[in-house]
Amino acid sequence: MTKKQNGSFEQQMQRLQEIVQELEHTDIPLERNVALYKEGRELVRSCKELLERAQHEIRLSAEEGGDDVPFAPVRDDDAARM
Amino acid sequence: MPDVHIFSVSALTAAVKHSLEGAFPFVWVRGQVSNLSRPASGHIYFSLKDESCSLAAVWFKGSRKAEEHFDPLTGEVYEDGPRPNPALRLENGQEVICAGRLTVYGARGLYQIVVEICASGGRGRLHEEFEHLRIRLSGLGYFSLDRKRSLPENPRRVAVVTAPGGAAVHDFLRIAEGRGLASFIRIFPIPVQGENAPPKILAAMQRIFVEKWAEVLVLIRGGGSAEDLWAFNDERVAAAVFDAPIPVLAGIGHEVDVTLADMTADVRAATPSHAAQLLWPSREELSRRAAFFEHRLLQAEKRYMEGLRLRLAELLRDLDWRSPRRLLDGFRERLASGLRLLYSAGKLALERKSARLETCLSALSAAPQSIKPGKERVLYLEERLIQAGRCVLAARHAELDLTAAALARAPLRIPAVSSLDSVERRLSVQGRQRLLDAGHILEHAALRLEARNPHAPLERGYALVRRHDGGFVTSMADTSPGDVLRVTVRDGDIPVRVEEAHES
Repeated sequence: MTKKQNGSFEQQMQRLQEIVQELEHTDIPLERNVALYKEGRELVRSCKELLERAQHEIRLSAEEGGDDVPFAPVRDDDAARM
Repeated sequence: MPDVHIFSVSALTAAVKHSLEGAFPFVWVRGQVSNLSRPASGHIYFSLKDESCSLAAVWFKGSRKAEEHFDPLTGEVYEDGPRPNPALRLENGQEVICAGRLTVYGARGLYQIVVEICASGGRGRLHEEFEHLRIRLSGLGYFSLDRKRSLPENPRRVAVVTAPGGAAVHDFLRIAEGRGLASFIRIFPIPVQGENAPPKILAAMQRIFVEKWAEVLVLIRGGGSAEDLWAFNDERVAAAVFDAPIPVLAGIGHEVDVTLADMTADVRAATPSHAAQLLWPSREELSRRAAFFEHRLLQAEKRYMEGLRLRLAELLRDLDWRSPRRLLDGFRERLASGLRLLYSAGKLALERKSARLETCLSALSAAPQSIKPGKERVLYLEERLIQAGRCVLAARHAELDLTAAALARAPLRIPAVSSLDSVERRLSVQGRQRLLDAGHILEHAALRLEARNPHAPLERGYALVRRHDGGFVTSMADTSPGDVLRVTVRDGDIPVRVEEAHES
């Protein structure tokens, strides 16, 4: 992510929506248009990247005081079969 | 020792069997099902119990129909079609009414009821307890809709309270994989059934609330019997859900299962999978949203740029219209048309002039023909003038002679000298006058003659060409090669010989 866009996916989408609306509904000078368009493209790219890298991190909470450990679900019946 | 009858075990058992089976050939009994067992044989074994006692029961495979066409208790025929045998739905904790024979099973030394008919005995104890609690908690406002919070949108920090090895967490995580965006999911392990479950659930929830890490708490459990799910009907668990400082999402059991924890939760999911669906938007949906905005962004930009291009093209046209080049083109065009006009005018004028020149030239070449008769006439008139002049002079002389002769004879007849003198004077005046007049006429004629003098043009460089017989040469026909001609110039004649003649 660039330093310009360190918001959450929702914030970026929100900003993208604002940009699109401004581009669609207002008569703006070229410089502003170009700046908004560039920002919009960057937001789209960033959102897509976020979607591509959207892996959840799953951890099993340890008893109080201990550190969490990575968690992959193993069903009891699967485990019983092993 | 009195004569006491000593039974063998078999004999006693046979006696008990005889009296028991004889006393209760067919009985109805109500109880709660427990220790349910379905071995491979197809028979069903369970216990019927109430608060204090337990009765063994067996339902043989052979005495069960696959489905029932009437209610075995009331005999009421099911008008909406046959219903599946209740044995299929039989489960622990269920309150049932059974009908059958009491038998003694000698090999194990126990008596049991051999079930012929089994029907749901209405609400079980657990159900009654559940209802009781539900009404109480409802009075406390646990289930009121206006205290329900909505889930955070696309949450990043999710605490899941469940059994780590259960189907629930498995299903939940499987669905979660395709949804949301890089969330942290922490599993808080608990036992989901048994005596221990409620306090453990409570402790896990308390920990989550104290940590203040999670945005949302997810309470899930896989399907099971009403007894299995009972921990989630615990009043303490329901209270913890009610007091939760963060939204609670509950997905306990299957669709049909409802627990008090479910009902108290802010959002109730039908199953653990459903909980994951409610929690996060699907990634495809997010992608679609992003793609939708991307499309609108591109469209807006395209429209904007097209607008600019159009305006630019318009301005260019305007600019071109007003460009010096165009002005210059205009001037050039005007110059060209002026030149064209000038050229055609000049050409026209030239044509007129050359036409006139042509006329003049042809007139000029025709001129000698008109000069010749005039010249001849002049010569002829000159000749006549000279002749006339001589005649007039001779006539005057004769007249004068006559007058002089008359005069010579006249003095004799004149009466008076004075009158004679006067006549003489008048005569002499008249005579002189006459002479004077005649001189004038002559002079005038001489002048006119001189004007017609053919030699006069010689002074200006013309020459007279005459044949040897004196005739003028005025035409090619007047001469031929070898002729000797006389060319008269201003101060003399030049004899010449004609070498050759060309038609002009």
